[in-house]
Amino acid sequence: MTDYGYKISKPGFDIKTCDVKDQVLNSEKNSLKIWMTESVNISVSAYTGFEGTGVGDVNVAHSLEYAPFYLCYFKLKHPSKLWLQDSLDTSMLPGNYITGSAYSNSTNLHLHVGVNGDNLDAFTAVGYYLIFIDKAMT
Amino acid sequence: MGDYGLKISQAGFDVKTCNKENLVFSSKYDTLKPFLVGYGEKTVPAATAPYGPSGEELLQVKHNLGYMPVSIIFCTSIWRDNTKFSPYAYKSIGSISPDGGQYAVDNTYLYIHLFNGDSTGSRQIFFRYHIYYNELG
Repeated sequence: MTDYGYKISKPGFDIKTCDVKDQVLNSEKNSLKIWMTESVNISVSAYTGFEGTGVGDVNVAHSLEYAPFYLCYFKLKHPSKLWLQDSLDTSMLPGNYITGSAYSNSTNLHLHVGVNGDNLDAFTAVGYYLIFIDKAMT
Repeated sequence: MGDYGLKISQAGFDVKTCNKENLVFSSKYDTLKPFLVGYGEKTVPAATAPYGPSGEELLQVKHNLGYMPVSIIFCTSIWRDNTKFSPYAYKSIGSISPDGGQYAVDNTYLYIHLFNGDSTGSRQIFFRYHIYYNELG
């Protein structure tokens, strides 16, 4: 560290000598700061066996002007579980494959729910997300 | 920021004027606070046929937070190589037996569903989970 800065160690570690991994905060090392954390409803159309059915999409504007680092979770068909991005709702297996996915760009976090199954009715999924003040892009 | 708070900038940046991207810390923005980290391995039975249902094991990690916490999980399932860990993972769905780890949380548990699409035998799958105090939604 230079002549100035700020470090906080975990309990039980000497801040003057401990490794970075044993520090809670170090002003030489960036940390993930949460920009937005919210939830949003996603209307998913009925799946009829044809392409373009059984999908739902929502854009969340983030105003960061770059594609940000994010985490997403989805309430799908299971009554209480939130599924991590790209996880299949295993309560629907076998036979129906429902999953939430996402991407970020310089304008939006885009949430997508896709269904592939046995003529499932339309339903409302919920996307939960955290957007961080850090880039996912190159 | 209001009339009070704490901000720390990266070296070389003026904390009074720099962008939020150049702050190491700002009390205006929440951060991920680890609650529970754990790891393990589980032997998952073979798929019942080359294109049949996958072998499956479900692990439940009790967090008891009373709300749905931010969680991140890694496992080795899709790679069939226990040195390679992926956070979000499934491979081959539909009529093909998937490998993968499907993950969910509720108010009490973290659920780790491990799948083995290999019909030639059971597999040992490694996993690691991170549960944070941060509440979703």
